[in-house]
Amino acid sequence: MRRELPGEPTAEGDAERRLEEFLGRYGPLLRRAVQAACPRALSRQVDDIEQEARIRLWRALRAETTIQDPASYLYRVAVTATIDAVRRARARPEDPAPDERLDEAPRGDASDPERDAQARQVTNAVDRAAARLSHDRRRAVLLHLQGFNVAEIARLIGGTHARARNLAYRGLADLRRALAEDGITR
Amino acid sequence: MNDNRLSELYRLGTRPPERRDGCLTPEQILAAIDGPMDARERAADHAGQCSACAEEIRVALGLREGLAEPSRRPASATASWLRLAAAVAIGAGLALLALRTGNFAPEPPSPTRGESEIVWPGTTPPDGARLTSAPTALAWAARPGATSYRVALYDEESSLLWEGPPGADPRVELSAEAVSRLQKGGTFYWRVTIRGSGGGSTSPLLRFDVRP
Repeated sequence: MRRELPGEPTAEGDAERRLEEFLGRYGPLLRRAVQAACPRALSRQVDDIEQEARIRLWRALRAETTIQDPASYLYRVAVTATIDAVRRARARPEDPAPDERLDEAPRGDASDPERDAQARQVTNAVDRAAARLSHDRRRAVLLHLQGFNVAEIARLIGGTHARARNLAYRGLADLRRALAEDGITR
Repeated sequence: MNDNRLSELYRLGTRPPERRDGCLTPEQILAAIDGPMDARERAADHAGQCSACAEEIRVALGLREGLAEPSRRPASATASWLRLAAAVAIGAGLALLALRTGNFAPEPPSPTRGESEIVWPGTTPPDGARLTSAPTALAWAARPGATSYRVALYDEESSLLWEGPPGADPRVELSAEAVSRLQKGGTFYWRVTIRGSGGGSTSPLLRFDVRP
């Protein structure tokens, strides 16, 4: 079998050179973006996520001749790598160390059944009440309850900030009334 | 009940079970932000009723915002060329060194090297090793203060192949299934998570190739 000589152009060598070039340009930005976007509980996994993104980039550069829109491509790679990491952390079979819990959003906790029961009750009531809202208001208010801000809601449902704000806040007022009719006031 | 409390309980109540049938794929999450309107609406409807997918969409939105900069402010061509020239010069130096030492095998690509990462010596197999048969165990130098180690093994696509149980020894035997997978050949990565009285840390991502 023929051995490759150092310095001789190879598919791997070319991919590595392009990766160096790519990361020279976008690497620091990738790291900052992953650090900023990671849920707090994954802050210690930023290195892992960044490394995964680098591996995926390297594989892509090895397989493809050109990347038409590097920023867009990097964004897609970073999103898939980060979401995979979030899902792995969430699915981790054993109870993680306290500082590794995905606690950005409240999660079910067997040690607090009262809270779980209250969450189920409220969620069922919200579902019933939301079913009485107009489609647009329902969509906006549920996204609001999931923690999205007005700009994010506008991005997800389309339209202007003003429209998203009106839908969310009018929807929330409708929801409050509907919850009150169901006896959920506190 | 104020809005924050209502939101907190709703997010808790809409957290999906571990098996997430029907949840958004990463591609659908990307489409939720920049895809056609019908894809965004479908994703928005799901995210409204699934706090896990909602959280992942927020992660993607954060990355989108964080990575928007390069398209508006491209790096200067001069700087890119200088970096490329430096990389070529370093590569040529390494090639000369390899020739002088009789090592004709090209250096393995190192896509996983972070700029600030330290090299981890004393691992078996050594980082970057090219093996003709699958290792049956992984080992590393003991770390002061460590109380347990845990190893994760990944394939070239970053998919988790195997994860060892936590143990106090700086060595772990791979499962027969993992060895069988390694024996098929390819590039593999592994990482050690260290727990100690002072907290935890992780090794750099270590690599070996198996070419039977």
